[in-house]
Amino acid sequence: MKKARRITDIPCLHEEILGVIFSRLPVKTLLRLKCSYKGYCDLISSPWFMTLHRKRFSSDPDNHCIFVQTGKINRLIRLQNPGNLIKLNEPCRTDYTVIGSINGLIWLVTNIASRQWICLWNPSINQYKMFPVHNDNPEKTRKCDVSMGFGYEKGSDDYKVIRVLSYKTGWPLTILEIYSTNSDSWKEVKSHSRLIKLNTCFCNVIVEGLTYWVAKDLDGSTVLASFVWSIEKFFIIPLPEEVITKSQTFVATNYHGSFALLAYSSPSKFKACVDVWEIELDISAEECDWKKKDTFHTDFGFSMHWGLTGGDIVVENAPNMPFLFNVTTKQRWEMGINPILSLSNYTESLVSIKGFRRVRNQLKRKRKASNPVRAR
Amino acid sequence: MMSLGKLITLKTNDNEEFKLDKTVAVKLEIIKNIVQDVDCTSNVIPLPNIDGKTMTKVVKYWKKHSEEGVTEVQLKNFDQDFLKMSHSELHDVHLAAKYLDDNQLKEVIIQEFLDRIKGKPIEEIREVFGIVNDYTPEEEEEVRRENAWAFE
Repeated sequence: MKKARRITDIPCLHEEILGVIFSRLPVKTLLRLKCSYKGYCDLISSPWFMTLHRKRFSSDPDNHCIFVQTGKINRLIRLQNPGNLIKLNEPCRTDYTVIGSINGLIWLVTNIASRQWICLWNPSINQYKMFPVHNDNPEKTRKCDVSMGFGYEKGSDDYKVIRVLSYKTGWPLTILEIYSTNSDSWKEVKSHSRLIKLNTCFCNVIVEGLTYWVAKDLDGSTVLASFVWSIEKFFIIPLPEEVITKSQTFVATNYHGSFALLAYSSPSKFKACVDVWEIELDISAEECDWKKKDTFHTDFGFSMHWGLTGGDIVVENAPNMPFLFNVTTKQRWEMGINPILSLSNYTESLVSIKGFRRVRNQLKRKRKASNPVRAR
Repeated sequence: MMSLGKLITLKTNDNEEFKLDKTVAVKLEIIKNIVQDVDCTSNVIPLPNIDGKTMTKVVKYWKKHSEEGVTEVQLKNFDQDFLKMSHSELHDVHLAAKYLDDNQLKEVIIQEFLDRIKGKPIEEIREVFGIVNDYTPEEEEEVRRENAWAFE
């Protein structure tokens, strides 16, 4: 390889120092830098740098974004500058559902030709991977409940999908279909035991790679279920006692980067009190411990709310415009999006997985289509 | 063991000597270690990786930042002035800070590098880091095509 000629007397910056500087740069700048010098390309593509960048970049609140879905338009909002709704070059048409985001990757589900497809997408590097679900029609022979979850196994650096099929009768009662991006394949785990009932078609929240659902246990009580990827088992988490006795409404969410329950009660239409519960999980001992981290009051009621990595919340109070609410300063910021169908915390990253392909430029094509060349 | 004098002398690789108050010097991990470990009778600590020109800057920074009663604003103004140096000088100070294990100074330099490249086109960033494009035109076309997204 040809060595770089130096145009000044500076020796090349030590790779480690350069890594530290580069780890604070946005992905687009890094992609450009890759095209400017081979050594930078090697550095930026190296696993140690990618990990350093992911950690450093996501720890800076200036870089926190939310990905919001609303009917036809999906937008990225940089919390530093919420007025600017960032357009996205989407890998599939807008009729998809966003399930969540991990390490700068967004999980989507869409239907193509009456088949369900899963898409893992990194909007920052404009790459995606799409694959169909394992079993086309699990209800063909017996009726079953289907729920899907997405997650990340840190130890093996593997992004994973799980689809849970729960049958009412027959054998097996439960099938877990698990997909791994590293092996690019599905596997089935069949069992005869009846599982908890997952309340929703998709997991409710993904935090730090762990996947959570709100569920009903066999007695019919509301619990949380977390799928532990390393042992491929569900971990059942009872709700905090107080949330049950006060019969509070709650959401499971990502709050300050950790899994939390935001439980709220509103004594009147114009007031609400929100308790923030955080959990300590000891998976090997199958133990968990809830702690009430915080309580805050608002001078408005709401129908929906989401916690954000930076500690703010997004509040929807139909029919009014949803707004961002800073819990400490009590400042509100109205979002130009209504209604919100889904909301995920997002921070850009360089993370790339095997089988990633470039997303075709939809933005350009749309622009062209809306400015058709006049026929002579 | 080192004698208990109030001053420590740092000697750079081009034999320039810097007399430094011991209370200032021992704030630095590396000097503390040398003071404790090395059997040094002359009170002179050699710095084989740093030249006098760079050390002058580092010492200036240390002295200001350990001044008694110095205000935040004064420090901010000082830093602003201090960082007015060429890319290569900045780089040398960073290497010195790294060798001396001074995290605060290292962070200040990294931030300055970031400010210098923020929002700049690639050509100017290359200049800051002192390198030139080493891709052949064919290679560059390919790598640009792969990353076309970043240039839109």
